Amino acid sequence: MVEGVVQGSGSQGRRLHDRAASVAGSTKSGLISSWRIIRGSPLSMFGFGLVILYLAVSVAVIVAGRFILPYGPNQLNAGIPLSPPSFSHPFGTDNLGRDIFTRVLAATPLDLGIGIGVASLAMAIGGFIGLIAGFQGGMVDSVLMRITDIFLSIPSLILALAISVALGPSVVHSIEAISFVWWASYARLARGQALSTKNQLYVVAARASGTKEYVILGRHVFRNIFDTLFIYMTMDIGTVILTFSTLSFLGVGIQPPTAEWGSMVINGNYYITTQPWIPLIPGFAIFFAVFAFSLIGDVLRDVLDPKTRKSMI
Amino acid sequence: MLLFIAKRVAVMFLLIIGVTFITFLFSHVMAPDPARLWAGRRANASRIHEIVILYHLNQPVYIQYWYYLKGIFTGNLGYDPTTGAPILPQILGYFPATLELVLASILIMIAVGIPLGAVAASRSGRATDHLVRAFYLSGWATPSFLGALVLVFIFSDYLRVLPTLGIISPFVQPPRTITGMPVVDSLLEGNIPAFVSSLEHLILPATSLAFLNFGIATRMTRASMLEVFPLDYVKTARSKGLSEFIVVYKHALRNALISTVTVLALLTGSLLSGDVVVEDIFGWPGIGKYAFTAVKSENFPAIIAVTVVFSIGVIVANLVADVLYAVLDPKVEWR
Repeated sequence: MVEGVVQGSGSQGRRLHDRAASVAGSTKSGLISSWRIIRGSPLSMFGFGLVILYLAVSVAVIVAGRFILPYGPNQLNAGIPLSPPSFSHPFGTDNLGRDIFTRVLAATPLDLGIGIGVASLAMAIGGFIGLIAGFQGGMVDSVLMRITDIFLSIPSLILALAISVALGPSVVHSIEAISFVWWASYARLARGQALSTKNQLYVVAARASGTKEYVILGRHVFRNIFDTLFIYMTMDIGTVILTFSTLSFLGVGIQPPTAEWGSMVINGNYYITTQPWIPLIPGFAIFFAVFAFSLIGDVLRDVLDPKTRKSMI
Repeated sequence: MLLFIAKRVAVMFLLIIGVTFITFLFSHVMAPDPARLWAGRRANASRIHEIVILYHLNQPVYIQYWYYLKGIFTGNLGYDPTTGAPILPQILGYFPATLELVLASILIMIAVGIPLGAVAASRSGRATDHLVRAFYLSGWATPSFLGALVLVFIFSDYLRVLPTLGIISPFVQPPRTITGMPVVDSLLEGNIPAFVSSLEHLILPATSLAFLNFGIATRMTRASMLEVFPLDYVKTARSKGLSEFIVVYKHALRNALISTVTVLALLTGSLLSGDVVVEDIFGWPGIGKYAFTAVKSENFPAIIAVTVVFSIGVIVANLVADVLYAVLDPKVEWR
């Protein structure tokens, strides 16, 4: 993305256009250089490993859950209730004798899926709105951005909470509620990026060579801001998981007995002083998931920001 | 400057109206059965009928919105479905406790987050930087309920040095209500036992609320310091032979703080979100606990009211940030 800017300050329109198109089409190479950056820092390698682990567990549970999981996630009295971690129950059992290890694993695809799903949806909606606002400018920009401002000024958890209560507690409703509030920061981000991209020389060159506006929007502007949005989304997946599990903790997300990290914490809340593993282990499952996604995003964000980039490299 | 502020205040009112529009949208239009929602779970048919009249739910949508908006601007945020008491006075009663908690956590955030950011920036790319990053990201990644629970676990069970429940000990003479914030009130009154007790009660909730958010203060300080390091005036300071400490903490940090201060105001939203969970776990008698109780008892008017009040809080904080930024940064033009 940054290379595109540097190359754009060349000369002839037609040549520029070709080169711009080749740069704009190089999302892949952007991700490859991101990988180089991740590899450079031990902390982000750790985060990357964790993300792979979580994804692998999700896939394994979805594909072969019945064969891998030692017990059923809702199987009562799989062990003696409230027993501490042991060989047969690596994370112990809860008050109903359910195996916590099984439940934590079984919840992984759900929590991760919601995190990735809501963040991608927010990126698609917010990205689209921001792209249009930044590219179009004028009245459209003002109206769209004022609406975005309104959404940004409502604390997202509280709004999601109120919406979940209004619609009635269920997984689908809490997903709807989070998505309803989540797109705004993407719109803000995409708009800023689109604004700075739309006057770049290669866009001007594309326009001068008679490229249609929607082609410029889709091919040149969108592809250029995609990396930024994608990296922001990586970091955001964790935040969505946090918010969703907090909604469950507050009792408006997942309804029992479905295994979900946040609701496992609230159900084990009572045992914090006597059998601390019951709330703490699912709590740490959330922690490491959010930590892993944030780590990668955080490192990449430093690099994306050209101002801090200069002093880093 | 006055024009600048007047403009921002006008925008602020537009934003507040926008917020009411959104809360109206899902509480009156998108909700499957608004009357039952406003009347509460246990309402019978005649009660629901009263509610329909009370909130004008039988009118066309735009007239409903007019009444809703009018209610908010005249201080009527609806009524508690079980007791019938108006909600705004209740929220105002809980407000000082929440303000005390939020202010204390902002103080902790400044005291811990900004120095950490400065240290990370001055050792950018080295082990200390990675360590600070791991630390603030773990604060960020900790679900608010987990962080609070771990603190309760450590302090109530093992250390037993700090109280984990309530705002002040029931065994001390509570201060008279002046501001409503016990720490401030007892200090104003010179009531030392009450001051110590309320301060002790404040430490854990404020820490857990701050822990979740100081990552952003740290990040911001770090990023804006990295921004000023390559600038000429920092180079000049270095080449004058000033010690690295003076260069980093006096020259660079001062400038970097401008953007950090404004980001702190932008944190209000996430602070208030975390506040709901933290207040519940620590039994803190503020708006967050009120909202949590409202969710549990399906007191919908109260939840909507808290949403509106918290959003107004965020909008006002942003206004303050805007003005502060213009005051602090001489490069910003007043327009």
